[in-house]
Amino acid sequence: MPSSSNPLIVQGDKSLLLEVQNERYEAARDALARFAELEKSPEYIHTYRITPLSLWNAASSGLSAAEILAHLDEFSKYSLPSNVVRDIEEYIGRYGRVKLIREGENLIVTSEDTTLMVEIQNHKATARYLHGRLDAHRTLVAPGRRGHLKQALLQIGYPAEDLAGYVAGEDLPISLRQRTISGKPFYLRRYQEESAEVFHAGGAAQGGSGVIVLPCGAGKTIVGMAAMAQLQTSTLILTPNTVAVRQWMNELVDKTSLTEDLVGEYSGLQKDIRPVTVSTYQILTYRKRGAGAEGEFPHFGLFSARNWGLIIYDEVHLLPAPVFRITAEIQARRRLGLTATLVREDGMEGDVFSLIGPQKYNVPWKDLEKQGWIATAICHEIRVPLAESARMEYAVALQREKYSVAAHNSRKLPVLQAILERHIGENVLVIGMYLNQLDEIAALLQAPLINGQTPVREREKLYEAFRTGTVKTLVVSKVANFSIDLPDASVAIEVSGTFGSRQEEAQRLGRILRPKSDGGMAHFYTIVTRETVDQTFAANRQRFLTEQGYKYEILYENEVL
Amino acid sequence: MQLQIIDPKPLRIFSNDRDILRDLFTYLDYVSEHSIKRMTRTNEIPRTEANRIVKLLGNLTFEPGKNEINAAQWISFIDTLALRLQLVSYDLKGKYRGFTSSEPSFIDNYIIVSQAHLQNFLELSPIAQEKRILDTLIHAKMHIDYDNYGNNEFYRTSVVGELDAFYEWGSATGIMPTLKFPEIRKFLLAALKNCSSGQWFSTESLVAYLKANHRYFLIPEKPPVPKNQRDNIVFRYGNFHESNDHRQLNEKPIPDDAPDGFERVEGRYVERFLETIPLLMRFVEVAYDPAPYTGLLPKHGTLKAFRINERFLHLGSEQEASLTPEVPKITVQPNFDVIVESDFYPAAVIRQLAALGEQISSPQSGHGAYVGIFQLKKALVAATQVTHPDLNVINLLKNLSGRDLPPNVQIELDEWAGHADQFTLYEGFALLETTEVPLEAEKFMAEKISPTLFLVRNPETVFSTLETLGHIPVRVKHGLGEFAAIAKSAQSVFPKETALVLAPQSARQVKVSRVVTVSYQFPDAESFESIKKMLAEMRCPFHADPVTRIVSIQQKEQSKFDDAVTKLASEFVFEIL
Repeated sequence: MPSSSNPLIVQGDKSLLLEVQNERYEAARDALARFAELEKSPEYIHTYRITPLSLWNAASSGLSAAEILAHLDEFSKYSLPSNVVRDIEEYIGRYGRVKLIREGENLIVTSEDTTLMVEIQNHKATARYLHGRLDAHRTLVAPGRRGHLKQALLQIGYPAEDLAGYVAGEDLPISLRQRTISGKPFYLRRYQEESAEVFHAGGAAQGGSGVIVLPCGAGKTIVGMAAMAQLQTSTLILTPNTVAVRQWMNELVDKTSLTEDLVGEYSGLQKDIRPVTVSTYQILTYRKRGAGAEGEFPHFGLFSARNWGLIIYDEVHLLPAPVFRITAEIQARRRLGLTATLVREDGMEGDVFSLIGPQKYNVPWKDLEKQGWIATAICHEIRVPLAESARMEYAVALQREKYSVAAHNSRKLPVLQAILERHIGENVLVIGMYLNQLDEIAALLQAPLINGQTPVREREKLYEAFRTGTVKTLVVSKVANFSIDLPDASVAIEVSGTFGSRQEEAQRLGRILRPKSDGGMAHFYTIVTRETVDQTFAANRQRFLTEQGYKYEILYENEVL
Repeated sequence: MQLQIIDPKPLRIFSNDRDILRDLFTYLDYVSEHSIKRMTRTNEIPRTEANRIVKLLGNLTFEPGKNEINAAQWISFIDTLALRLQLVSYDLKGKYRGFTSSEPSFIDNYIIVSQAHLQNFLELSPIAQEKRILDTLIHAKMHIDYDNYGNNEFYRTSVVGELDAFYEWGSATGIMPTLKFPEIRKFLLAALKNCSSGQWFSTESLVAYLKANHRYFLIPEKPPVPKNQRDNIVFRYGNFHESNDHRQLNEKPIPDDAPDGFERVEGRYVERFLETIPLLMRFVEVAYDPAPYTGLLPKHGTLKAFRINERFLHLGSEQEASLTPEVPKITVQPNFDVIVESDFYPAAVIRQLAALGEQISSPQSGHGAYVGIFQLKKALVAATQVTHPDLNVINLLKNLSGRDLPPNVQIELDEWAGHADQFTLYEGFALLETTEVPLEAEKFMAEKISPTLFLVRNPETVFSTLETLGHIPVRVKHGLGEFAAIAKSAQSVFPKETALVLAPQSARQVKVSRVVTVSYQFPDAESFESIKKMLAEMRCPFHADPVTRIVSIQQKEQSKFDDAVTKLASEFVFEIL
């Protein structure tokens, strides 16, 4: 029952405000995680939002409207707004009213609600994917249109429960090792095991497709391997870049029974299709120059090159639009999405839901931090004045050039060196967006530089040197944002970087969140030029990071030097 | 009081999201800043002004076609309430101007905000402000303040309700003028206070309870005979008629001895009361029968259920003086969000925060309490600091929230406040361009920019002075977004109208050469200086930065650089990474 001592406020616009310093906070947080999206989590009050997708994700994991309302009522300070109650009942009630089932060779869309079936048969968005009415409750789906129909049903507000099952795929015996090839003991953490089990759902049609959301550094690759071990089938793994491909391959050989000859790389450098093949989004969306917007993607053939039993989409929030299109056509294959965030800059969260699958598992990162699975991070912003010699250049620069002048501020360099002196012996990443600035820094620090021009082999060599401690400081451009496993990077220093996207910032920070061998803290520094647009961008970053719950400290040049 | 608990699922629930206190202050802010003249014939707020206020109030529609609030009615309600609270004043009587047979006209009838009353009202705690509004509504003959017996829940529908009214004809006769509506309303509010919050109760059971226990709460058992009654026969239900179609000819009175007379008269009143003060004040949510109404009119038995909230129990019917002032809970977050939580709209606090940040939350919370989120903004903080130089924003927020601010917010606020005094804007100046400054205009000179250009104060006076002296000055008034051109006949160093018409030019071809530069950074000053010297001796053009010890050459000079390295081989073995 609502009580003023409760931690939650449910607002009429379906936002939820949760007080952190309340003794019932943790219980409320765990309950909300199942049906609401966490929007921001600054120190005192966290904001969640209930959306149709969050409710359908909840419904797909078996949560009923009554359970959701009971949770809200249990933790709420005030009576629930009646429009919120109504909407929750309405949206949850919509999930599963339409089902996709298989009868023999035929794929059928079915519903108990005959009026709804008439609507689906006649709606412009859905009618084109249907092949003929069987009776008042069942209609035949056009061949190969399973994914398209699911997208269209979501669009008209009736997400389908897909019970049509999956093709078995080629058999491939896979087991997880007790001890890795490198000799370390290996076991699944509880949340990794749970997420793989929830995805598999004991092999039932309710499982087999969906997205697992875990923070950076929580071991999403291992969840993928656990899912492969559950399914024992040939697997296609799609990743954002070639370095990630190699890391997946190394991990598979190191931690599973798969041998090198069973794992192939399909990238710009190598086209090797094996029972487990790891590829990149980039190669899949490659088109010959002049092919035009409607041109074919020659590497889409990879999807049908083998009888894949599982397709893993790593960093699913980066999945490019053409891969969604092909994914719509391969709905009979099991699909696992892995990501740290469901937020997509292009707003295509609905396509992730309908084509990859609903969110199956999500662990709040604070939980993992508390358990020691990811490192505690502190953010520091260091403000330096613009060098006297650049002030006039900045003053007369065009608006679009101002950021470049401010970002290149030469007074950032002594601060950078001072920070490095504070962290002698630690592994440090220096991150920037201007290549000439990074060149200058790499030369100044006598540290290796990785940018888009660095060959993959060279990058791997440098990452390996960084991992082993031969190289302590690595200067990187934004090529290092995603999917790079740098377990011992404990300090990141950002010297330039516009606040382009929330993802990018989260990913950059994610580079240092992997647990440290000594259990130490991670530090994320940004060096910012005062009273310039650099500081304006930094303000956005500050708000974003504090909203993610990180502690944010502001220092001035004289406090560091 | 034992009422029947009801499941509202089959019913259509309606909750009023309009916060009277919030809307009242929005209205007061608007009329304070704008000089609003009421309409001459109807004495209403002009439609354009009303539309602007509606925009400020935000979404006034709940569910289109169902409980849609008529915006004009709501503005009228708030306007009348402000008048009753004596926060504004305007003429209500008008003067007869002969436009129609009797209606007065209202000439130049401006709304005046009473600053003294407003200040007193603002100094009350939010709960006391709400209480004052409640008392005003209880004692008012509804929201229109004519001395008319028809102004009560029987005859005036609620601005947020959907029930219809009884026909007003004859309301000045019979028992109607004798009914004490303020007492009746207080009685019903006190009765509702016995209900537990959060539970849906059936209206029918409330009416049944009243019939069994307080049969005469509305019409006394022996109503007094009104003085203006022609005979001494007073029918208990003589003022109340029913019909199938609301047409007067078809209306039939409700007999005094009808066994269900209480339900048909008092029951209808209870339904209409619930959707008036309790619903207006957001003390209750109500639930209607979703089925189309087919019974006798006015509607009866359609408001099936109601649910009271904690807010009502908190405010209740206590005396204003005995209310415990509520302190809004304010949280300043590290992401610059300020969250305000209060059972009642905390106008004074909101005014302070609105000067420092933008409200980013929806104004309608959907529950009884006020929960608003403001995001602190640099421009607003700096601007407020200019107008209130003594204000310490950090202390203000510390006091409001009752704890230290997050360190990053404190540092930023300190910087933002500092920005307020970096520039000073002077207004009321102009440029005077002249070859000769008349003696009379010299006192207005603020600055001599060039021998023929001066910065002058009070440009209007300077202009008229020059005109009086027969100088025929030309005035150039610039727009806010761009400078105006000077007439081509005028003498000036500034561009003239003719100069602005540029001949069309064809695009100039520019050939750009690609120059590739190679940079080398030297680890120490000695090697850096040696290579510089050697390159200079070999007449190789280069650029050297002594801070970073980087030497840059054009790629075409690479062989000279290589030669320089070779020549220094006896002193240094260079390894280029």
